[in-house]
Amino acid sequence: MIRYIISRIAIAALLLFGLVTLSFGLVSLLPGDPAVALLGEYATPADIARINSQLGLDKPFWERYFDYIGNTVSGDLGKSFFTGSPVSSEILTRLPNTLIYLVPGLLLALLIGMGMGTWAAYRYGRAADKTFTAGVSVLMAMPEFVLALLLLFIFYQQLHIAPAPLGMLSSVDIPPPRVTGSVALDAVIAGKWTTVSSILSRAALPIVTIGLFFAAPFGKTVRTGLLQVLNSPQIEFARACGLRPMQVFRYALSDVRGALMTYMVLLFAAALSGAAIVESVFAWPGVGGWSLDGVLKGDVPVIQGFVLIMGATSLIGYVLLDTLITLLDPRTRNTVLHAKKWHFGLRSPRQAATTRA
Amino acid sequence: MTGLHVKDLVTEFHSRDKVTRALHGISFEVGSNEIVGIVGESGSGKSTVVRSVIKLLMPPGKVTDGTVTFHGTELSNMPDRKIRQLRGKDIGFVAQNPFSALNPVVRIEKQFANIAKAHGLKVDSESRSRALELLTSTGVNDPERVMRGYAHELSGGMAQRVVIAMALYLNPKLVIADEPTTALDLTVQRQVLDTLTRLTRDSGRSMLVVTHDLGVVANYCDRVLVMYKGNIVEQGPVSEVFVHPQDPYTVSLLNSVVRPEAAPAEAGLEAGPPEAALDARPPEAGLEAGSPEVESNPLAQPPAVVLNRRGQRTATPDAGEPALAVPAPSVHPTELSESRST
Repeated sequence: MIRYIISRIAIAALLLFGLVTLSFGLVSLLPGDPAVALLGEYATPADIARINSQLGLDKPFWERYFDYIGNTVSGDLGKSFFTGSPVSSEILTRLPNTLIYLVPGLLLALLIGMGMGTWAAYRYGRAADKTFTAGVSVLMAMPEFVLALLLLFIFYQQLHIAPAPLGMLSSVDIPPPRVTGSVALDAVIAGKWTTVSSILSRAALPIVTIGLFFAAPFGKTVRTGLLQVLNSPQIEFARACGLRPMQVFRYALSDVRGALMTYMVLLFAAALSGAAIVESVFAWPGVGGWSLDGVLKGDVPVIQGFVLIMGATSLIGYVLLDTLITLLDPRTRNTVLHAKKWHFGLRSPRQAATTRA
Repeated sequence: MTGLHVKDLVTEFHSRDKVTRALHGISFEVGSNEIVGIVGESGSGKSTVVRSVIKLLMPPGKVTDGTVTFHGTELSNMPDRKIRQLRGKDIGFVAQNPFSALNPVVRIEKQFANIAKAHGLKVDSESRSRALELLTSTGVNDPERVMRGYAHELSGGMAQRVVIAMALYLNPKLVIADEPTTALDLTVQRQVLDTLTRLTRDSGRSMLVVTHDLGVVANYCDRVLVMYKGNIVEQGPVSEVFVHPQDPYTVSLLNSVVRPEAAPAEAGLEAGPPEAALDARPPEAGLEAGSPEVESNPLAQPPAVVLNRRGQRTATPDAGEPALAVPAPSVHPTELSESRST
């Protein structure tokens, strides 16, 4: 088992290395000169050369690449060309800010999608199912920022329930003393509950935005998956044995849970890369808006840092997912638990099972 | 009124622009301690009958007319909750393919327990030993190990025995078996059927078997219903129907089974119909393509398959070599392994 997890992690590390290399290569190929962007149109060639040597951009490609890899491995992701702040500390402050609305938002999406998708599947072809399908189509056709603006219009402008979309803290909130770097976490540690509740009330609309936006595709997947299972011989037999509807539902769920978990992790990756949109609308100090800014300005260390954390978070998600799915299914669990040899996913567990038998 | 009585059952499949009628008002009964077979070609509505009876049909399928009475209780207008309590407890169901019927990620033990729980029974050592007992009587080796394991660890025959044990777990009065052996190897089919009928007869149950294997009907059933295109074209005691078929479809169905005159007894395969049916067969009817009866018959002839003595499947028997009749197998050898892996 441990070998299996290690092999997965090794693969993930290799993939991450490849991703970092790719992002370095692509960013280097980007048009535009950071020095020009930094100094403006009327910079003298001497100034540009000075800035380039300051940023290390005058060195040859390979030298820069090995410098970059070496620094990344030692945890130094460089400094922003524009603000000069270290990328790694920016990430440490901003990533929790993003996760604070992203994770609850996705959980909300899970809840809504699961509930509505199940309901639609059980009422297949009836009014409830048709309403669900129409609702999903509308939500999926709506860009995330339109949804966010719509929610702002209703809850902020009309109903005055939600606070203004002006970031995570209001001007009257005093930031807590810095402990972990994450403002929300520091507020909890410092016991500043007014700040905590202020953050939560400001996070509410981003959470609902993410929740509704991702509930649509997730609910659709739940519905499709369940419909397939509900018509399967397995569920028919369960019903023929007189199992209670709840038991039948649990059987059906055990069949689709792998697919749903996979989809959830994919949605997490998608939500993280799309964080820029929500964060722009709500002026949220997370990684999304920051990375978008970096991309627009050609701030190379920022872009590379964002790609790195995106890749790392997604890959960690996939490793956890893979392990969990393998352990949840008795058909694959045994092969992994009693595996004699290393196999880097070259043989499928099923093949391995037949070989053993 | 004992047993199962079905009267004028109509089942339809509703789609957006049309209604397909799968059953055109069929009536039959299954008496106590009686084994009734339903035969017919694919798409004749055999499986729809049993699903309509215990209300297993999923939308868009719908029973639109008729009555089903089981031991004096009217099922047609019974609420779903009550029907649910009937299934598994009073009417057991043996599925076609055990590997797609059993839950792959739940231990066999737990699946038995879930059935007991669903019917409000206590799950304890007693309920467990009842399951073990049943597994033993269905011929499962080492039932303790099977109970602790999962479906994928079993062979096809063993898995189907587990399904049978689950169907009989709460001692139902009626067992409905939907092609209980089509997913199994030919050699295992017989053992499983022997077990199933023995357990049915020994405890005075009745059984409704759906099959397209005429041999199964001949060997195991008391009465037979012949279905064609959603109608029962003929029903009666097996000896009657097989010896004196009245309906042209029954005649052609019986003729579709290739029975060369000199079927060697030593071949050991006894899935073919009994001697009586052989004798009753009109001499001119057979495999010969030019046979007038075959030509004039408007009904489609299901393809026949013949096993010659070397075990090859051929459309016609080897010249001069006696071949043995086997009703067209419905399952490909590959299908079994595929279904196991899913």
